[in-house]
Amino acid sequence: MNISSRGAAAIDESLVFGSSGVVYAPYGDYLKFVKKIIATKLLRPQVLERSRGLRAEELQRLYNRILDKAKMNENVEIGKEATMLMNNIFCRMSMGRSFSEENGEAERVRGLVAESYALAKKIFFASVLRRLLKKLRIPLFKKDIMDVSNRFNELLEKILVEHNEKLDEEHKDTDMMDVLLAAYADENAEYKITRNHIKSFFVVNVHHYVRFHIRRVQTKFTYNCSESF
Amino acid sequence: MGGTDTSVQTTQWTMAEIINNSDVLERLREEIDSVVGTSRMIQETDIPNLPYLQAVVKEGLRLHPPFPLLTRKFEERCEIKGFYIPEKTFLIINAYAWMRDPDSWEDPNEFKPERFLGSSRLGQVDEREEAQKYIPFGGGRRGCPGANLASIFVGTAIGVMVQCFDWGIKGDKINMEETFEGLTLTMVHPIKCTPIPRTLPFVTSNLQSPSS
Repeated sequence: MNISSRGAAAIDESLVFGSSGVVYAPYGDYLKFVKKIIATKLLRPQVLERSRGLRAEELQRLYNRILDKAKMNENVEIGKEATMLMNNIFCRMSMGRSFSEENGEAERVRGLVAESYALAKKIFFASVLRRLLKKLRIPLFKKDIMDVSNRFNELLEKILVEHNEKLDEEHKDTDMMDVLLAAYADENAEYKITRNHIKSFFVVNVHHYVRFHIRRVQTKFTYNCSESF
Repeated sequence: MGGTDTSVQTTQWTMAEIINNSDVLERLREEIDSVVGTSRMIQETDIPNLPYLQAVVKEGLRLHPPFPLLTRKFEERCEIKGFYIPEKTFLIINAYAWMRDPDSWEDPNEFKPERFLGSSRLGQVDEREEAQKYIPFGGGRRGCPGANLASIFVGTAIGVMVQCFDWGIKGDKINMEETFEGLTLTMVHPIKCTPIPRTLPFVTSNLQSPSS
């Protein structure tokens, strides 16, 4: 018996919620392949040891930020500090870089994440109620979803190109994007991944980027989840 | 699934529980002070020697799983305990309620990290039982592959905040009201508090200038 799939994605061709993303991909060859890559290239003890230094650095930065606030007698928002810490660690471990605050890139990503989060709940119900919505001819928010998805696509394409250029230099096999690009270029790979697969992988990653900053913009949807099912 | 947001939520919820439970804070500090000392900052390699810290993170995840609802789909029809389940049935598991089930947990709504200290001594049978009732990372083939890494992230972040600072809050307790936004469980009132250094500053000289 197989109940390892997550259910049909609402919009198959969307980078964010489509079937090439790790979250909604059906349990099959692609997912097995990505899981293997994650286990062997990203989460293997030796690899984690190598990235220990950058995590220690980010931890020290967290400490410095809180210390600065303490000296100035300022409040600390724990969620905000934790977000900066985790984002920097995740981006550096997976893409070898963090999004820059200076050129507005971080802000752009935050905006995209905000929009796709606002859609997340709709998508959840759209995939649960998919057949019913189709019957009633209620569109599955397709336009909104594809719009966000396309803009993510642009951003990630840029990062991909940037990475590809760097691959020629000595920078090799150091982060998750390098690993996926290598798998993409490898003609003998057991599973042929596509550029969309790579981008979808990072949307999931980026998707969790700076969620904290956007909670205020979202429509409140409060209920006690223990009572809702 | 994704890592950043889940780790952030867990850090925030767990810190709130620690601040609200002064006995937990005290015990945690005692452990960190005796294992790490006061002359350096806690680091990743300390975590295996800090069982109480590990238990605190586990308990935080039990009470506040960042993904309270897990979803799966049946690829084939099947029968479970006499129930017929058609193909393509959508399955939703309420992990939140599951991990506060009074039949499985003593004082299910209390923050008691000690409950995880006892179990590690009892060996494998207990681990299997725990695997069934403790599901913050989902489970099976679709379970979270980054569970261990997440525990390290959250453990060190909390370690630093507890080891190096006292935390002042407005009022007696932090408001623990929950909201289910997007698909993660978050705090209605994100914690704001005033840090007061409790150790001499730790400085490392090899830190590069902040990149973001």
